[in-house]
Amino acid sequence: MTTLATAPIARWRERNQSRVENWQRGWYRLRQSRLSLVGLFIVVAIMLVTLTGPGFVPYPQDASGAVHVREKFQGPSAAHWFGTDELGRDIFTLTVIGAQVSLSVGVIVLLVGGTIGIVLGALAGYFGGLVNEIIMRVTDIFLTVPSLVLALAIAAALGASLRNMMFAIALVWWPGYSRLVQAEVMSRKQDLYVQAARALGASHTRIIFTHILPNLLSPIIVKLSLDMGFAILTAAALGFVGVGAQPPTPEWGAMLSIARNYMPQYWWYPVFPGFALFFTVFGFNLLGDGLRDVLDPRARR
Amino acid sequence: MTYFILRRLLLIVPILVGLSLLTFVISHLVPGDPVQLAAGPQASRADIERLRAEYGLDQPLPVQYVVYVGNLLRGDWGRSVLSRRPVAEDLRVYFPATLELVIAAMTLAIALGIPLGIVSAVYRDRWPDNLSRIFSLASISLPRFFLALLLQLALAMSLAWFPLGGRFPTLETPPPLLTGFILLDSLLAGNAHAFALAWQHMALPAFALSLSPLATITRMMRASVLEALQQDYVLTERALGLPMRLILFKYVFKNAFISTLTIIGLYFGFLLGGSVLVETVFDWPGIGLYATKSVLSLDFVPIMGVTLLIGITFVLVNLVIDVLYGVFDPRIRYA
Repeated sequence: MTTLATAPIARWRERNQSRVENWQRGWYRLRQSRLSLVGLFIVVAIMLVTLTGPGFVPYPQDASGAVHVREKFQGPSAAHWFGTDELGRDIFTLTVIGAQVSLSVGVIVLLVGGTIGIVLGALAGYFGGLVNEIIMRVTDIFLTVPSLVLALAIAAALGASLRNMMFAIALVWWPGYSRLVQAEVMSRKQDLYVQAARALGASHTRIIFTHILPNLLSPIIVKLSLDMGFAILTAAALGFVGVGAQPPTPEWGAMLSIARNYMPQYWWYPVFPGFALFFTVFGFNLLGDGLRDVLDPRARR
Repeated sequence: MTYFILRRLLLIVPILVGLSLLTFVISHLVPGDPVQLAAGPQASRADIERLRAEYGLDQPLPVQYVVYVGNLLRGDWGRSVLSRRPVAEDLRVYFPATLELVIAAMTLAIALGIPLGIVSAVYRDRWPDNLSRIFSLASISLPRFFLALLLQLALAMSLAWFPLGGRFPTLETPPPLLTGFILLDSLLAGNAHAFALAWQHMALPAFALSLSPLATITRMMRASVLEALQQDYVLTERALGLPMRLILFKYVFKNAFISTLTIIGLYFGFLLGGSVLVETVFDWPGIGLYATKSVLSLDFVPIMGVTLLIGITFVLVNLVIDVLYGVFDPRIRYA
């Protein structure tokens, strides 16, 4: 009784039945853990806020440098839910737009850092020998300095700006991925299916990208989701120190560092952006923790 | 054992070389011509060239690197452009403060995290475990500098239970400097008043710093106790009728502690970095505050010094952990 429109979907389902079942089982297991669902809810909510924020904030011009000195330091009220800052800007608006900055920094850092790390790790694990030695020793050196300090040094050397800060964090973010991928590729390159692909004359690129890497998708997804929170935290920390986004771009870390000067009279100024930062990171950590339970059988409780 | 330690010591030499290479590369990332910046806008071409030769910046990069490492080894870590003071001397003053804070935070985290982890594992999936899971994830997600700000806002500003910041009141006389650790120095001097003051100043920053290692240690300890509990020897001991308490603390603990030790080592280095922010909030005169102040005045030499010092400390701490592995687990010693 399938109509014409649903036929391709049904056919797709049939062909990928095992994969669909796997996903269904994963979703079922994720639903079993209430905390992971809370995490998923927070992450989805923050993404919605990020996407629709510019449309619903009450004072959009405040996020691009408008100043209303006469309204400075007003407490939370109906007009200004989160109060106003030292320039009379609406903190609710700044906090919502700040989500955009933080999330995009997180995504870009993971995209750039993750790609570098995965490619380098795959090369090191697959080719072994000298390539492996060189790549992994460089990885080790990067891991000797805590990522925050290293990113701070690089960002300071490049000059304070949002783009330099993202570059600096991405540059210190890849070693974790190259370690993970190198070890996994190393252990999988002897597998029978890899040997079969090689015997059929598949190129190195094909073997790495279509045969080995898809098997590593689960650990990589888990690491990405757990890292998202930490990347956002690192970015906020650098913003707090003053090497991140420059005014008037609203960034949570930078807002906190200014708000600090006006404590304790104007408590709402640090509290709202701070809790926004906390909930964002918390959401990603809850989700990542849940995903690890689902996707990584070794860590299942 | 001596052979084991010697081999580990040899292994850190290439890492230290790599580390110095890394900071060397970063300090050459600075866009623009540092010499021109240092000389100022009025400097003539000849002045700039002279300055360039004076700093050795006219030499090829490999030569510059050799000179750089030679200077580092001789204890010359460069001078701050701003204060003109030697960075190595500044670091010697500030580093003990950071180390004291990190050790206090780590001690707190270990002392609370290990029992909490064991409790979580024993009450697995029941309310103490769920509570500790939420608590751990929340503490990892709470930005350290925001927690510091909240503590400062509530306990130091509103309730005034603790001082706002700093390490010791400027109006009081600190204990004579022996170790650089104020707590230890005041104990050695037998000065109870100074000891109490130092404690009050350290309490908030140490707590702010300890929360995320506490969470991680708890989770790690829980996971490794659970794993150890599934081993055959536990089954045997239970079959023999040994009390659970004895099994846990005599046999399981030792095995579970080894993997937690790795995390402790990693976190120690991580906290040296994390203390940057907490020090900034609480005005704690350590290398973190030193670094952030230098960042604001675009003074790179001290930043590089702090990066290098943290890297070296991290490597050394992990060396100690490696050796401790050998002490705890003979299998590693002879591998």
